[in-house]
Amino acid sequence: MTLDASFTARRSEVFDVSIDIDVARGTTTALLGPNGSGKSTIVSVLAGLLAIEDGHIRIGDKLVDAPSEGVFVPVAQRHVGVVFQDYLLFDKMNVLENIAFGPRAAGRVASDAKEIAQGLMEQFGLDSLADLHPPQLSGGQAQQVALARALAISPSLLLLDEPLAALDVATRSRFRRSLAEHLDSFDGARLLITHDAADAFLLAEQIVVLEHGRVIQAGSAEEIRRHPATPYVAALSGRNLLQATNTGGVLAVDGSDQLLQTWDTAASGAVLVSIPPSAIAVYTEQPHGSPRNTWATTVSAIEPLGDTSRVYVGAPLELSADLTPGAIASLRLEPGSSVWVSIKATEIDVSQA
Amino acid sequence: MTRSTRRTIQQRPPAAIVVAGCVASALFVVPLLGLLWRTPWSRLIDLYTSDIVLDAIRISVITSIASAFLCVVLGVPLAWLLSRVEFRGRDILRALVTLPMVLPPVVGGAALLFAFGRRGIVGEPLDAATGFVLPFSIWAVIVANTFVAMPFLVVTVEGALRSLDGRHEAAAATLGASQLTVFRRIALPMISPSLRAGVVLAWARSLGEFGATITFAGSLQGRTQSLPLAVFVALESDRDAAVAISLLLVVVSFVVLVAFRDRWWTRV
Repeated sequence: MTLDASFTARRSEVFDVSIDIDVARGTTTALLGPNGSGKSTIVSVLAGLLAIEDGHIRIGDKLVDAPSEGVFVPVAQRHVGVVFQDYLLFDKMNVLENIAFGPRAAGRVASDAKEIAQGLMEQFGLDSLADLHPPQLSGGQAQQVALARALAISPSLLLLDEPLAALDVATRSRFRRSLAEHLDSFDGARLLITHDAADAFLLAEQIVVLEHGRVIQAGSAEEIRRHPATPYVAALSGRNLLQATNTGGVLAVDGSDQLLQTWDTAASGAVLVSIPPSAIAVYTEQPHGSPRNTWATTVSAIEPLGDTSRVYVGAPLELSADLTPGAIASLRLEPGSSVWVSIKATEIDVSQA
Repeated sequence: MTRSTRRTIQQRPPAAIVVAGCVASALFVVPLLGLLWRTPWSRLIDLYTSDIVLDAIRISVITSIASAFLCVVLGVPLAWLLSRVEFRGRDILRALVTLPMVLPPVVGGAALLFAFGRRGIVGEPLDAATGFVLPFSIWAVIVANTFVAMPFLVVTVEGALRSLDGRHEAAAATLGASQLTVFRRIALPMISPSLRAGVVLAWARSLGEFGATITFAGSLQGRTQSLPLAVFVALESDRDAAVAISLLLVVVSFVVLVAFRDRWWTRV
């Protein structure tokens, strides 16, 4: 484990955060929760900007905060790379100086720091921006500079605080994909803090769902999707997210032979497809309608979720559909049932990936 | 709406307020007119090149710049301590630092004399140990200037530091920067407009300093007699010289004001 944290921290008289989280080397864990769930408190605590009240934090082999042992490693000695929500680039420095700031602060001579920064800029494709100042950058460029700056200190833990939230919807999917690539190339522990389920499910192997300062569920993306512990988690994880290629309204889903028809041709090429579970209809016999978005499959699982139940279907496309218990009873659905599913083309949301 | 069709509605202001406003304006304008009226334009060059004025200019330039420098090297760290470190008595210290802004300068001069004079609490042992006597030297002028001017710098810089939200400084700290590096490379550049304003305010205040200087340093031509002191002396001996020096100080003050008007006058 490169991050082993189990602690209680207090932001104010009335709000405390108590979590237990482990992140293995070379993996990404997402901390998923709504605003006010305690995510930013956890960022402050792990970065060393806020001391814990109880518990311990170990980064790599090093104990960095443990009140019972009187250990507290201050922020400047923690080597935790942080990509802040609004990036917090230094406006008075150019891009190169921003990225070289960490190595420079660590006492490296200017030429070494510059070399490290240039290496990262090459890796991120930022070479041409070296002399620009942060106000001249687009949101996506600023995010990349912030990530490069955090990686320049060779951190043992990388914290990403809502790294995509400041971007507009059109650029978010594109930068999500490039972020995924950059995260893969960093071999330390990665902790992604987000309120966006798409970020969590697409970027992380493990997901920790946080509400009111407490962990309400933790597990792999697949486990969370299959067994959401609360309606909140179910709502978060319910949307079917698929990566696909859009060619004139025909979606070829990655890793599947099934084609989907959409009316949305604004986004073409590599796209992210999102289908709400309520948009998927389940039948026991072949329905009339678009042959493209209708196919035969089998029920793999049924999970009750309060007022509705979530029905999972298997190949050719693993999807989940929300049905009422009455509908499930009248269709006599059970795991292994042969069914037909149908999706309205208008309910398929497509965005540029 | 286009410009030609836009109507501006401006009500006639109340007469009583206009009268009061005019009287107030006259209070500032009339003395300046008086000064210009009495200015001996033909003798101006001769006056400005006289020993007494040249000496005073030299003393003023040296002491005002030296004290602005002291204000920065001592006042900026003090402002940082006041804004960033919590310690017992911080509020009292902040009050003491700003006291010279409201204290009559002559009281400040007297206090400096009791502290650094030949019989003073610091002055006596200093004299015994080194033979150095501070009062009535050019150093005394610099100390007196710094005493009255530094509060302007500290207040300006501390206010700017407190209004930084600290998040950029926190970001720099996560990158491994020490507190000193964070202050020097992040906080200071971010507050540089306020720092510049603070320096100019402190410099202008020390250029105009009179009361503390005359009490603590005396008015010795060529040694401690700065421009304001020279005006005061010349009023008794050579009125033309007093007017000429005053005019010089008005022009310098006015130039400073115009140069910094964007910072001090927010124009809509």
